[in-house]
Amino acid sequence: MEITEYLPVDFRTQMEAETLCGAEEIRLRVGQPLEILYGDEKEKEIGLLTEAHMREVLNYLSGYSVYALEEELRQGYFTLEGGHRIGVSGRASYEKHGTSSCMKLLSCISGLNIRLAHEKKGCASVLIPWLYCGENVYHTFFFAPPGVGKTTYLRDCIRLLSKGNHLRAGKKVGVVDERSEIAACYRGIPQNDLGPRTDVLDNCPKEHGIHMLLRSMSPQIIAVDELGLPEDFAAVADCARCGVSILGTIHAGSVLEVLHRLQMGGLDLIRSQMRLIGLQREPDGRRILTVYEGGGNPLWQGFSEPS
Amino acid sequence: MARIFGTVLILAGCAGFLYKWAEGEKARQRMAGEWIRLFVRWGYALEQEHVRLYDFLSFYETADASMQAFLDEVCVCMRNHQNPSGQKIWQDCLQKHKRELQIGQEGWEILTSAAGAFYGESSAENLRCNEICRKRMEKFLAESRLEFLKKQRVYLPVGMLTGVVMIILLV
Repeated sequence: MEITEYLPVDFRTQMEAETLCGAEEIRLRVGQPLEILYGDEKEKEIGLLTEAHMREVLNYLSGYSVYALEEELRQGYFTLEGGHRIGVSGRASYEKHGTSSCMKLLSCISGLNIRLAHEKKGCASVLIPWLYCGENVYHTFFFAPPGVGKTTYLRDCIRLLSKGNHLRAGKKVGVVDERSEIAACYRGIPQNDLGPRTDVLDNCPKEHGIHMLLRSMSPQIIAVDELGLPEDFAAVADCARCGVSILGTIHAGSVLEVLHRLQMGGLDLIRSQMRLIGLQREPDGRRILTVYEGGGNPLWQGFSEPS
Repeated sequence: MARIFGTVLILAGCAGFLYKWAEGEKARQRMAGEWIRLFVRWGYALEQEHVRLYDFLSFYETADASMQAFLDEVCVCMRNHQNPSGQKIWQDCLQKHKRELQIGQEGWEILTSAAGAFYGESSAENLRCNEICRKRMEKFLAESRLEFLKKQRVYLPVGMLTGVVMIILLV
């Protein structure tokens, strides 16, 4: 389904066919114009969004089933068919559990951020030679601030490693897709191409998923998105100890930040078998890719074309 | 010979009329039963599976062709994203299929209010409304069955008696 079909009917008529070409985000805020952000840092504003429009969009995005998103709304986001992630803001209500409190409901939704997923096949092909260590694959972590394209590169790496090439056979890859962004599963079936030897565990917390895949699918590589919590790093460390390579992404602004987080997560011991890949966005939309070895020394730098 | 033929014809006409009436009533009861099955299944889906309505309806199969056509139409409208409100889609489709969905006035009112069971704001609201609709439909079905038995007791002898009177008068 086209992403425009999720927008209010009034706005669809105001949008030309190519309006969303190269768009990376669509932002909707009640009382503000609909804003489209492009990769080359341009933006476009259309109309004025009302509360009725917001309800309409929520109905379309949820398949007229807002109730089914209660759990996701509590986390502040949900994922659309196709892997597009929808960030949500609104009025949060909390309930007390003893001394602590946890979010009960997110209601009166006033802002949405639709992050358009891009399946950019081949974007990570320049990185693949840097990921192999003989026949094995280095533990590899992509890092960048939000919205630069970590998941896009991770997805393409999974596909290329799973497929293999004329020099190396494809690897068995297990993907723990907690937020359905990597594989964009619909009813458990991946909608994105992740290669022929990839098994996907959809909508499963990382720490459980990694252990499940280790026990059941005998993967050679396990891929996860957005490592951040201590338990995520603990699961990754377990995985590394079992001789399985890890592909992951981390929100971070610099290589030092990543190294600090990996150290805090107990992944210091695998530094010698590690590659870190930093992504930066240029004003023209191109991405600068920097490959670092596990100690943080740069090995290679190159460009990738905009999506 | 002509008298025998006329007698048979009148009796067959009366029996046919009674049969058609009984079939209509039974079809209405079957449809009510199918709706109850849908409400039960939907309640389970809401509580246990947390599925979206479109996913639920597009894979749901019912034995009643007119009800299936109605549900398919709802799915198509939901997929098209042309109507901002789910409740409006439900009402529009119901109106469109009013002739095929022959379920009586009481049944019709239940189906109209069932929009709240499918398009509520929260799972709790949907579950509550779904439970109410299911109970109302069960009551409606029980009353229909009772009414059918009562009417059957009257219509059968009256129909046959009318046939006999017509035979006496005409033949």
